[in-house]
Amino acid sequence: MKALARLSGCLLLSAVALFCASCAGVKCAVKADQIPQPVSFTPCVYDAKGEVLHVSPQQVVRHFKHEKWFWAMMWRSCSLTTPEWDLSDALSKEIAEVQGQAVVNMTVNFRSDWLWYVTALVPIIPDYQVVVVEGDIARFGQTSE
Amino acid sequence: MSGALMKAGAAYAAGTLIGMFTCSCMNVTYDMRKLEHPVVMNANPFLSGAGGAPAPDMSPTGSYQGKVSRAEMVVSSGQSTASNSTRVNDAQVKAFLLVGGEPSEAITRVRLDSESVGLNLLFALNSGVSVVANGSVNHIVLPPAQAKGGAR
Repeated sequence: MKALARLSGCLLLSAVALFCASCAGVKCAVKADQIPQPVSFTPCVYDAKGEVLHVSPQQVVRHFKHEKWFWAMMWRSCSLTTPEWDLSDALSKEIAEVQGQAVVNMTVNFRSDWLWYVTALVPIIPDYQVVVVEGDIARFGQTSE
Repeated sequence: MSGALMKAGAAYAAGTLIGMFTCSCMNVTYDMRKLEHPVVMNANPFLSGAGGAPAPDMSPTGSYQGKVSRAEMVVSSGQSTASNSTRVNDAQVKAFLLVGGEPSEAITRVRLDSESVGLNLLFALNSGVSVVANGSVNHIVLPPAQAKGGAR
């Protein structure tokens, strides 16, 4: 009887430990390889002759910001959203709307906040990562041939 | 037995709360705005010419890989708490080492792969976000007259 009580105690402790000890995470990728206009992470692009052009504040015609949440559960083994984000369509649309020529000063922020931390405690609860893409659309005017 | 359990529970709760404060706002940014050189996500770093002139040719010469990451670890024993923070950001430096000062070298097809991990082992909490940027380095074949050109 004593052994049974000890065994059940051990099992209970193990269950608590398993519940409390967990690992979670999300994997995701960001790309934009289908867009014809330059999408630069820096303030620079090449002109048509291959010379480096540095954007000036007057050449920036729009600032954009896109955000996407990536969800996964069971220690990253089960992705609930597409783990790859192709920005090509969204950026093409932004460029077309303002008749821009290039995307410059692009930054990509990957964030997990306190809610993510809580969801990471229990493997069955989906956890997430937030990706925020920001940048400027520039119009350089007539570039040299 | 119950005293030990209560102690362990208190240590766990304390560790969780401390972990929530220290590990809660994990974020990393792939930011290359200080680099005075084009680093592009797609295959084309050139603006289109006024008359639809063909862009200069490019030939691949190598690959680029940079990393930005941040990790926090908190260990709590109930009585004391220790934390350790790690930050890595070599994305911009590696890009500069590959193409800096060379207007005829460009980094193209950059893809960002990110991974976030949260690890909770009762009295030790670990949380981290990392981003790896992969791209290719290309040599731009400039006409001889422009080969010495730099940033305007």
